[in-house]
Amino acid sequence: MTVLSKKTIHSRMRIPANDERSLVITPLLDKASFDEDSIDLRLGTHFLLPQIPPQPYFDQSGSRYAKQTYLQLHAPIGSYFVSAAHQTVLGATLEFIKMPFDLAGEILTKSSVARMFMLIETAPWIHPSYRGCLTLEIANVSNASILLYPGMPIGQLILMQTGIEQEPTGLSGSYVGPVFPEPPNPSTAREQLSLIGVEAYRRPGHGWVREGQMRKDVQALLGGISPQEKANIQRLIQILTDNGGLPSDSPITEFIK
Amino acid sequence: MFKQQADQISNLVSGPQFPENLSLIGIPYSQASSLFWNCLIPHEIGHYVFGRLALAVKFKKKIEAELMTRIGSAVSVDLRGQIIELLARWIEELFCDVFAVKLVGLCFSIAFTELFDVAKFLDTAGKLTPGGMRGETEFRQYPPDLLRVRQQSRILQTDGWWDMVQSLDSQYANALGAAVSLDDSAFRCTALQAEWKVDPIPILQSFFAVLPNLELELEQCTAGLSNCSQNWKDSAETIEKYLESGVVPSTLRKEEGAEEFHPTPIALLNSAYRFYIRSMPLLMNRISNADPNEVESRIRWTRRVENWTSKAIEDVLLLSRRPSK
Repeated sequence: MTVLSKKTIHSRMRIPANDERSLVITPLLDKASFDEDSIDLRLGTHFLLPQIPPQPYFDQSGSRYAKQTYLQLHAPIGSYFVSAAHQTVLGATLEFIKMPFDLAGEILTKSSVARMFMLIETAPWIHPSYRGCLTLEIANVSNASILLYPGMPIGQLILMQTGIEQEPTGLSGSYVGPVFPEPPNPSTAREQLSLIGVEAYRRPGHGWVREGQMRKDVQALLGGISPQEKANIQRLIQILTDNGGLPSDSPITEFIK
Repeated sequence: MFKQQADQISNLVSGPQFPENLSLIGIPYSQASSLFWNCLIPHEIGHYVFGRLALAVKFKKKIEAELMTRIGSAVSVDLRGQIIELLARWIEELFCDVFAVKLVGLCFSIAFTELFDVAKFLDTAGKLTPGGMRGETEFRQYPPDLLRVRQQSRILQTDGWWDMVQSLDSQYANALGAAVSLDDSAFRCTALQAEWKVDPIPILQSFFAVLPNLELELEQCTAGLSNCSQNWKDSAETIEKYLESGVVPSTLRKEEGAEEFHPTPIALLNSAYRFYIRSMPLLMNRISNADPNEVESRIRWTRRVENWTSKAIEDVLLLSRRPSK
């Protein structure tokens, strides 16, 4: 992979956005943002502060009580955001970026920021054709609070030529055009494990869950009973759920409803 | 008064004092989070301007003079006072509408037409139905929506926005087009007759006799504003191409190698609104799992277009603040 030079970056930026070869970085507030092989990116004004979940852990198996939630914050240009020691927060670049179909990119913490023990990116790769403000996983790993000023240079974008020759016929909807930091929207662990043939997974408070088999057995049972009996079972599940006898995010609760 | 109240609140929380010329602009709840409906806010700024220029006093005098000519002392002083108040309120609402059009252009009228669903009384050919005429031409506490749209359309025509209206193949444009040719005689006010037992015809005649002064006042108070329709015409197509590509349209190029430029917020708002009305499928058909015929999907991508437009407006403001080198 070849890292693009300033001259090549400029030539890509001179192409209008509706051409798939074009590179858009906007707003570019300072012409001095360009280095010979990179472009400085600035911190945006919106933040997502992770909240402590009701359960003492995050659970990717689909529990609604152990899901990550966030507090949305806005610090206008000129103001600041206080990042406490050892705190993590999602931010975004001030610049909106549209990648060409044949280039990939990587965002790195600026050394001046890194030397304050502030990391901005742990998933730094930017795919070809991506467009949006880049979500930054900001972590203050120092022992003191740090003030983050939106508009300050925080990262460096490096662009690389890929071997892709075919222009895309469409765009993936998941990552087209965010202008705020975006929380993760992952498929649940059970979906991912099922894709690779893992039938059972372990879940806190449940033990081993064999979801596929359970669904099959329950379906067979429900198929052989009268509508009245089926309604009674649903009512029973409802009573147990309403009164704390069965967790409302149990895999079977939703299925039987 | 607002400054005092604001400072009291600020003192309670040990906050900074507000600037001397603080004004309060009311924003209806309905406009909350939608960028496009926020195009209606300039109407509320119009109320502030109307108050600051003491236009109510000016118009009340004119209305009174017209009323005296037409009905003389046929109504009591009290009732005449109430009629003057009502007519002045209608004038103020119309002033705020046309002021908003002067300020932001066609996007105000489209948002107005959308919020009040002015197009609902048009038939499929875009013509006003007899039922629509009955429902939409009646003066009540506010002037009829069709009169409000007519007055806006006249400003849109003189200010060079009519090309944009004609480029919209939609009921919004039909509503504007149907309203613009309505004659004064199309409007009625049966409420006056029912409540105050007065003949509404000379009262409406007085109102319409005063109405041309509104445009004169508007011209005077907006004399320093540049006409933004030309700027919209210059950049609209490029802005819409950027939106179609899913890109924030704050730094634009018309063709390869051409100079980059930054659109004005007014051009952005108007172009994005036109894009939302006529071109959403062009964007959505490029994106996997997006279906222009599905309501939820359309809402999601409309919100994205609003986000890109808001971001572009913020960007151009930041870009305009850069020190010149």
